[in-house]
Amino acid sequence: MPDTFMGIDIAARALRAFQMALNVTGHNLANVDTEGYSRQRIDIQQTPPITFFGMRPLTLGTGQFVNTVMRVRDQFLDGRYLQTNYEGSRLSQLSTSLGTIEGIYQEPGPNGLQSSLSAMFDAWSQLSANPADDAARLQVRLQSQLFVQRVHDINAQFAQYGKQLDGEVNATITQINAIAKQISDLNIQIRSLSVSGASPNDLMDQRDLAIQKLTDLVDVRTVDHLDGTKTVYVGSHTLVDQFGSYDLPSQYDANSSTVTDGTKVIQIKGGRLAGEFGGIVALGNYQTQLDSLVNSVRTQVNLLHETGINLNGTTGIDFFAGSVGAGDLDLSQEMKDDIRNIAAGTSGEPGDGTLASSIAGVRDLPDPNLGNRSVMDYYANTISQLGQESAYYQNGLQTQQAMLSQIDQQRQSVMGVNMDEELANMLKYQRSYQAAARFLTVLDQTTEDLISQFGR
Amino acid sequence: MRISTSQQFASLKQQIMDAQERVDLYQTRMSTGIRVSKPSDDPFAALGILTLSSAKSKSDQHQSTATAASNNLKMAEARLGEMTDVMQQAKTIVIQGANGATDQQGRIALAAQIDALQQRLVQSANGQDGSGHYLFAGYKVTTKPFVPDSSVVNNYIRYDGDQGKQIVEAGPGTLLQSNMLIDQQVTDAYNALEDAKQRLQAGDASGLSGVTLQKIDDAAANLLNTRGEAGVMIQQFDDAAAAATRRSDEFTKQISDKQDADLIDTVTNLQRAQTAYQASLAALTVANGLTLLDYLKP
Repeated sequence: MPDTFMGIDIAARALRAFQMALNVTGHNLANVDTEGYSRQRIDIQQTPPITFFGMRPLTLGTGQFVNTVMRVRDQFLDGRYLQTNYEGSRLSQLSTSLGTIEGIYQEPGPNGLQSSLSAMFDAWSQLSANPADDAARLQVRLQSQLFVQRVHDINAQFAQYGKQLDGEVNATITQINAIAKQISDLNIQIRSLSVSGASPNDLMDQRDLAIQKLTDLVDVRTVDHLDGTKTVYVGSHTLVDQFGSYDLPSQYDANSSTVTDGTKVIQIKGGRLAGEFGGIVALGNYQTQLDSLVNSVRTQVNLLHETGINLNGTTGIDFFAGSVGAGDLDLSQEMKDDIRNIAAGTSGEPGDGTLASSIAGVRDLPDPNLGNRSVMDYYANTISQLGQESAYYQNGLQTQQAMLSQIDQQRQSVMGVNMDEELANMLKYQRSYQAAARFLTVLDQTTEDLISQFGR
Repeated sequence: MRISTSQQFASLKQQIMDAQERVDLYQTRMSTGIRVSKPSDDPFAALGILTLSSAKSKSDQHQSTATAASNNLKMAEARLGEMTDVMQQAKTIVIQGANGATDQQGRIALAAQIDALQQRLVQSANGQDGSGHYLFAGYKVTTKPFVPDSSVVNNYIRYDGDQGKQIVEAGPGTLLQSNMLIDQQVTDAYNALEDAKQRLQAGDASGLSGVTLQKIDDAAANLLNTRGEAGVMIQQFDDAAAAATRRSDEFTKQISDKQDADLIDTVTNLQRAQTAYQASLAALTVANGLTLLDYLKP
């Protein structure tokens, strides 16, 4: 025969279980908007039945117990989310970098290099038609100075942005290492709890959120372990394992998109870090194109100008100073000193504008150093290339964001809290608790009947 | 599909922000009137805009060069007209001098008139443009080109200019000469006048009616021809200026086609974006209004 108080045990366990279920529901509701939170489910199972051997063997259920509280999460969707996230983050950074370079060029518009180049060559053309006019000479010098100024402006902004990107790379690596430390700390706490058989859901959520934040910065690969911990790799580098975290080295080479500690070379393929490397490479590319353009203008104008005789009767004078790239472009000292040092012709006579006409024609001359393009074509091509590159990353980013949002929706569909669902569960557990309590009352009454009515 | 509450709000929020961004985009296009404000807005159009802007700037320069050259040539043409007048007057004087009815005293007086005409000829040949540069000096525009000088062999006037031809670009690949070299014509005319003066002073009536008249006629004809050439050159530059203006206008239109926002398109898109924005705001309110909380007993 079953024990007299067996029912009370059943009722007590049920009350405890439903109380706990209500707590889990409350926890879910409280975390409805917590980032990285995965909803938790209470797993209630039947207790083993007891079999009584009387006239016939009789098996009676003994109620239930709380097996575990688990988090609901889809590992596969998590993996896809991380992958999409670091690619999106790379594209986002690249798109920002290219957008910044576009902003520096200020094309198409009146403040761009194209219009100052045009104005300079137009001034030469003007001088060729009015070689004896001081006003035309002044105009050539003024427009050339404006061109030099615009080149310096762009060059300085390139240099500054390069410095900024270098600082950002260092900050990103520091941040990666800080998050790695955080993940490692969480791993250690998770392991110490899970060896005792517990399921530290909330710590795991925090750890997974930290990994997700890490994929904003760099491409990572994770491996799960039975003790609930995760190992995190960046390329060939183990960033975090069960025992600790290992800093990503800060020495980098943007061209090959790698970081190194001097011996080990780690390839970076994703995240903001890869985007920053890409930005540095793009900046270098546009710096080279600016230098080539400036060198071409300087060399071609100087070669012609040297052959001229100016109004002071001297020849062999350079118009532009400097020799390498945009950085040292300037007007020669002679041009700054005296506009009569500008040679408009080859005869030295004031009405000779033949040379000025040739110099004005430089804008359309194909230059082998510019791939047989003229300076104007070369520049237009640079800007078009910049536009295409920038648009490419913007489009890629949009696609990636749409994918990320779709995956996140699926992921949230599994792990996110639905308030109505929790409220319905709350009602269910409340009623269940009430039923268990009522059952206890009934048992209490029958026991009371037994005690007080018998043997009176 | 199971909906997570925070995801529901997050995606509603995202939709509102996206809608706002689109409204902003079309509003900016409306207010600036510009569709391509940076190369990535339309890389292909950006390439065209830069190439066209460069071409337009050059066309504007051609237009200004051609107009200036035309104006300068008009001044030269006027001076040439003056010189032709001088020769016409000289012809009248020479015919009068060759007439038997004119006595020697009369011829001396006529010689003085020729002398005055010589000075007028030189004055016109040394004509200057608005900035004081000589019109007929070749490249030596700051040197007075014509100086009467009896020490020159066979001539009575010296040319201090050179044979520099000012060539200017008045269109793509259109190189035109913008100055006139008339040293030969002026020298011939001056010498013819000198001849007339001397024969008048010497009373050589037959020489005046023969050799001198021929020389004056020839010189006058040459000056007239040269003036005609100036007219042709002016016409060429005027045509070039008109062509440059047409090209520039065409480039302006093409740049505008590539760069500027289509107003009707933009207005339609803005309207659509605003409607979507309103709808997304309404969706948030509706979603927020429905929750089980409202139906639970307190």
